[in-house]
Amino acid sequence: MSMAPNPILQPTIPQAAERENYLNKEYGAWSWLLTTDHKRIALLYLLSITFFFFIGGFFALLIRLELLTPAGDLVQADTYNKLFTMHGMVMVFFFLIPSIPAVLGNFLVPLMIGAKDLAFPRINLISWYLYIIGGVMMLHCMLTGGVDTGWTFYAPFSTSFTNTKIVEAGLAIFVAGFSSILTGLNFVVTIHRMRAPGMTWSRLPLFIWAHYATSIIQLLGTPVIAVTIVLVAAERALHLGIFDPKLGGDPLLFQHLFWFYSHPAVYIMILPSMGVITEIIACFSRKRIFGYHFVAFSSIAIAVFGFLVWAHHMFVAGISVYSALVFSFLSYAVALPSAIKVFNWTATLYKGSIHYDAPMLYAFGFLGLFTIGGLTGLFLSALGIDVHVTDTYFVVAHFHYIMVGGAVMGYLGGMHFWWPKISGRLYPEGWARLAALIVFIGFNLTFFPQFVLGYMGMPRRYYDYSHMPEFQVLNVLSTAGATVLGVGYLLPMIYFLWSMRYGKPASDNPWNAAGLEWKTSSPPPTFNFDEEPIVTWEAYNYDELDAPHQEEVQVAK
Amino acid sequence: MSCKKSNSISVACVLFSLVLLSASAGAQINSGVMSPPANTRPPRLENVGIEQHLDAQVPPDLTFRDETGKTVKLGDYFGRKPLILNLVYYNCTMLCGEALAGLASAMRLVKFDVGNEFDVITVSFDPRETPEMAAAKKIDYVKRYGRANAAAGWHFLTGQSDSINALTKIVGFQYQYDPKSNQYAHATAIMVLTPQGRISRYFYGVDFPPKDLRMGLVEASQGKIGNAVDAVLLYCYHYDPETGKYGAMVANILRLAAAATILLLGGLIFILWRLDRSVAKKTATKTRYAQ
Repeated sequence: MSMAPNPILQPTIPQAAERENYLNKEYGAWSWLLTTDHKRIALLYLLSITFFFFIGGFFALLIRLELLTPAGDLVQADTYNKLFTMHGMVMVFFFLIPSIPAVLGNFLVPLMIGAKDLAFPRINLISWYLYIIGGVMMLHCMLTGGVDTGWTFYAPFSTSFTNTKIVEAGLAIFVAGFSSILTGLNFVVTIHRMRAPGMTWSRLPLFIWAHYATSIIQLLGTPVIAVTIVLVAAERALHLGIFDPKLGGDPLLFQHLFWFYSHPAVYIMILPSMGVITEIIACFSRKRIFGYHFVAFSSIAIAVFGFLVWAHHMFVAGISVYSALVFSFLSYAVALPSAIKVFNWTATLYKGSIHYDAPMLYAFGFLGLFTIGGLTGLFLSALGIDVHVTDTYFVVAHFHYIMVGGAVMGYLGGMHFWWPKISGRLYPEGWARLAALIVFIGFNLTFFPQFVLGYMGMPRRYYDYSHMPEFQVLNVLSTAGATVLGVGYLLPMIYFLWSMRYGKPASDNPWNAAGLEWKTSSPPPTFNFDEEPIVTWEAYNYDELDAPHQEEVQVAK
Repeated sequence: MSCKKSNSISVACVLFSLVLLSASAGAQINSGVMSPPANTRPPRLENVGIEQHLDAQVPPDLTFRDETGKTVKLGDYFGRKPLILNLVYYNCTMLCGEALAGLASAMRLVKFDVGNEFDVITVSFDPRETPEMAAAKKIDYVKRYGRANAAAGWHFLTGQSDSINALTKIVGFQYQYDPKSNQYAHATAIMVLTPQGRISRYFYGVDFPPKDLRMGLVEASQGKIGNAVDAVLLYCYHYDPETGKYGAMVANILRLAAAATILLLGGLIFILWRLDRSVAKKTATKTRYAQ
């Protein structure tokens, strides 16, 4: 088997008659709602998480508007509590966790390893339905009053005191959690069992390694949050003494259980994003990724270490000094695999032939924002500083740099990178670069002032800071930034929709990228490949891809 | 590469020493400025408290006088049903009344009847008190409890100081007389005894969750009272001696569940890796034949 010859870098090829592909094979609502095609399910997820993203974003906008002025004048205190709670729950459980794995992962995992579909196509569809059931419950909960505990559900407030819809929100997350577990299981089995001949573990794209690590976290961690929610519901409904000390329970146990899942959950968000960034950086610097094995195993290391740092959320909750010491040290340790990735990406850029297309702009954005988010994480793992900034905007800024600056930048970068494959159309490059810039500027304008605010002592979750009017300048900056950021997020949605009708048809491989997903048509046929691919080349063989066509690449540049 | 490695090691060393520094700073805060250590008490309360002596045998031959003035041995009440023992003094102006009232109202919410499924022994630890005082209290609280037969099952005892000392020592009840106020400094708790007079459970405070009380009685009765549902509940309930209440045996159940999850997941991944290797071998031979 020789390597498939690669065409000259051609952005578009005029096509007389459209080939049959997964999009035009069947029409009608049932062909989507009962599909077992991983690509169609990915699009179902895309629609549903976008819906929740804008709901969560709407809450965020209200929060920022309330904080525009020091007085609590836009909403009442308890409404504000519900706003940030629902913002957190929707964004974490219904957008970030499913975002890259359920959309891009679902679409790309089988394509990248040369499979016809995931190992369990029907379970894949069930996961989407579970997600939707959870989502509808969450919507119902929101419309009938919502929850005011913060997305962390801390007991005993959540179990004995608040009168809001804890059990319903908990059940929604419980159900959606099973969607996450099933997706993880599907990916693990698929990556093991469905790889095309010749696709060895060390030839896998690093996107796949990242998703493998993510899936293990989903399988191991998500049951813990499910159990925690059941226990909260049991204490609320049956007054069993589990978390409430008045009933003989232990409130710290709740925090241990909650963070045992919810810290690794951050890695469920960021690891797939790192996988996306790896693919983009390799393609747009036209180089094999530097330190392939280090990047691959650092994903596994993050998955493992990620389970050993949860108590760093509890430094001021009354854990012993010695366990705080150990968890602080382990939190530093988890920075190492992340740093390995950042250094390897940077080393890949070095002497690369860098193209500044929109996906790459997002990747650069990711590099900067993730690094800031990661380094401020080290501030927070230091016990002394953590005591000072616990529950301030410093923490809020830190995790938004990771979860929005990291995960969402990766998600958007990936959406742009694979959009030609997903839709068969090219998005408008100029608009996309503009949107990437707007997102980057808007993001920093929103969240950088929050680092300063937090360091100056502005507590999180306060709706009224009229005793500290000097915080207003930074809050106004932050609110202005959020508006800019909102525009940056609306733009891609608009031009993606536009491109589905008016975009130029994409060739099979518009980026001249390595990877099996680019060796089938755009959009791919229902079973992905016309004939089973046999892999004889290493991952990221950009030197081979570019070698015969050096002049063209130079002209294109 | 090696240079990079040594770099990261030295970085790790620096980080580690930073951690140590910040941790020792944290430790100083804890021990010095912020708050006094939790285990020091005002001097007058130093010897006051309850030390749990679970499974200790309450001596059956200690003699007291019951509310009618008759001399009784504690052993007279043993051998039939579980017992609740509480230590008060009848002239107490503060806690004891609260404790007795709390006990009475908790027992009202339990289906079991005093005098029927279990008995209560209330003992005064003030040797100066008399059966008359005991009788007055008995009328009060039996009325408050308000069920028939209670008078036959709720005993209010008084006694000499040597009996009192022996009893309080055995059950770990530590108290102190304060001559200035003519009051005793003491803590309150009730103890659930098995029919044989061994201490099965302590419940602290003046307010006893009825469900916990019921469970404590069922457990102390060793199967003599209660039903199948109680047995099932007991199975996944676990008594936590630190707080003196029932908490669900959450930690243990979770440990089991975690072990099961890890085994399942580990098993899955192990099997998948084994299958992987066999597939790799097969493809290797296939390509060899193809060549």
